[in-house]
Amino acid sequence: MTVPVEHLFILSAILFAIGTAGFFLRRNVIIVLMSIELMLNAANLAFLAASRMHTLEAGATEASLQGPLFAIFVIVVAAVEAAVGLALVIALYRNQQTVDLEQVTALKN
Amino acid sequence: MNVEMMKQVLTAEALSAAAPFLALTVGILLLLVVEILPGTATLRPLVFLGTLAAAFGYAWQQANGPELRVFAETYVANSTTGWWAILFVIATLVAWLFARKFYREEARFEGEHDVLLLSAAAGMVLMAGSRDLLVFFVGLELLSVPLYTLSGFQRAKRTSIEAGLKYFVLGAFAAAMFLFGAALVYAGTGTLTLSSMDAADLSKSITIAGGALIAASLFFKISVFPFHLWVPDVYQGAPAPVTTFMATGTKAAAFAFLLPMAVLLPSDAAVLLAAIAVATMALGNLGALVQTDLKRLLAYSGISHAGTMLLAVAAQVSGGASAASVSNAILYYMAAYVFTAGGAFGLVTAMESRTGAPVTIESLKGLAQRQPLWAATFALFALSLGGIPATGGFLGKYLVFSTAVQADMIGWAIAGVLMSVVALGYYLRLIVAMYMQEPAKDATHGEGSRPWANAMAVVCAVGVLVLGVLPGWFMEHMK
Amino acid sequence: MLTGYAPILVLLALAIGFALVNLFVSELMGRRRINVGKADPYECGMEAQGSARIRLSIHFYLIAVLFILFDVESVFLILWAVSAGDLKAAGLAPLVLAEIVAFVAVLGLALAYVWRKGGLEWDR
Repeated sequence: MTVPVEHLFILSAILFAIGTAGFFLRRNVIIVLMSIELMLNAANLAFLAASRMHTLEAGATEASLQGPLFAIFVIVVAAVEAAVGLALVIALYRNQQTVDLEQVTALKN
Repeated sequence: MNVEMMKQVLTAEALSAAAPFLALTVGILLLLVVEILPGTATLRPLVFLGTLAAAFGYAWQQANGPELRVFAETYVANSTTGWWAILFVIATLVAWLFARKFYREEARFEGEHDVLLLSAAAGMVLMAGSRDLLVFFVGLELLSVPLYTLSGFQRAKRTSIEAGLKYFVLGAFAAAMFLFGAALVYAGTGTLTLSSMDAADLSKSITIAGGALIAASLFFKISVFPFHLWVPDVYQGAPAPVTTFMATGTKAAAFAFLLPMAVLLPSDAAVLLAAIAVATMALGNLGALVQTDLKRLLAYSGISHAGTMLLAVAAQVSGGASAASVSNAILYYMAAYVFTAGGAFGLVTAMESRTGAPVTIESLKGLAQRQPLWAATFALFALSLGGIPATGGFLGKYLVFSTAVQADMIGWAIAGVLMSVVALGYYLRLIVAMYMQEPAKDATHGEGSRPWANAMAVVCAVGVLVLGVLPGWFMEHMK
Repeated sequence: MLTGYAPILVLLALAIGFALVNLFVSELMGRRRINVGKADPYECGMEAQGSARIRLSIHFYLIAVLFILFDVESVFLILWAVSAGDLKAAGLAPLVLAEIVAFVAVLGLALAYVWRKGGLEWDR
């Protein structure tokens, strides 16, 4: 049994929505970072699904490789962003002893 | 894997098209070598300036050279991208020069500061030349990640860390939106390269949804409504030289890609874009009217400027204005803005660097007596931001509004002009404070001499005036 | 369309049902004996000492992040390796070699930088 491509798109859209919801609803920076990672991975899944769809449409003679290629770049960039983001979180914790975004309020009108 | 294609990829033509980017990359690596080898620290400024000079030279060649489409049409080099690269180099130079002697506790990380600055500049060049979503994404991250770090560079300062973190969280969110949008566009069209997307695929609803997500993430980078809320906080909290760089460079790079990307947007979107543009101008100006912190005020002013330029993009999307005239208008506007905002933020840097305390309108009072040169140039920058004739800002506004008129968007253009008049209110308030009000007793901002800041202020002022008085030469070259 | 997923649904129902039945049966037939050993996280082996929520040295973070970055960069080697054979056959061998040498050299430079800045020193 094969999984239809539409289901992959639906799954990735659901993951992206969960990530977006987490981004807006949670106030812990670490959880917000995890939500962003989830969104990135949802995009990765969508890339792979699209690649599969185009490969199937072309009669599987020539694979559409741009999608998987993009996904690899996304993985690398996600690692880079996580490194920088966690470094900023550590700097914040050293400075203010909190990782709660509600309490990050030195910059306000 | 298409081997034949690969054979055509790495040609001499391709190398010359990528030369400004490659020059910056080599410069970054050389700066790292300088950091590694002991006893070479004195070479750092030399390497930095040499890199910028090389990038400038190659960009100049491109600006006056033929159009090259290389790397399987994913990257272009033409006079427009050449001029963009020149602007990025200038913006980097201005930020770097104003950053001299700015950092104290962080002074031992100046090598890292320079590497990050050059990386961001390389990212901008890549963004402006890319005609492919993957190449653009790499450029975007090469620009963004160094800027997150630079915003939080003063890690002993609470405001700097906060600025870095806010910028990072929202920037990463925008990147995720871009990626999902790119995935949808790829699903709809089967390609990531703009030139191979055909009209039938572009009208699919999945492609349009992806295009909208990509546009939203670009709106975040150019800071227009409703994605502008981060700008005042980040500009205020980031170290002043970094703010100078962000205000001028990031916006320019995102616009440089937004223009070719606009083919993804259906012409029906023009009205929506124009409405967003005018809303952005209104919010930026109203926000600026009530600010007292100078960096926040300039941040809001930057938001309204982004709105003005978006009006030209709307004119292009509607199909009424030619892509060339819109691209020239935005390029000219941005060139004027780099000198104007670069000079204005740079002077704020100079005033801040002595005490480290935030610069407010209060601390501008009586600046004309303490630092006549700074007051005079700052007044010029304020007038240019307000769009007074004989400054670069005026011509930029004129060109942008005339593209809107070409596209029969006269109502929107009139709304934009009215907004510029509102903006004059707060720009004039700055001039009044500097020239007509007595300083507070304990005023300390702007004391002491800073030869670098003086020189840069004059250079930026000359740039603003030349762009305002002698536009013909640039117009000739930009064709 | 969704009938293809029926086996998964059946498996899910079986798994949940098995767990529920076991819980229910032991609740019904088992005897309750409460002692210290039962409260341990694992009811065997060593006695647990201290809290699990200790603070680790920040140095672990630095090492971990450096590892992740270099680890993930190496994924590009796969892309290169997949296409290297075809390109070599097409007579592009010098290009293929130059590409990977440049890539590894940049990574090596980054590693040298980390080393020089003391990022790899464990006991600091």
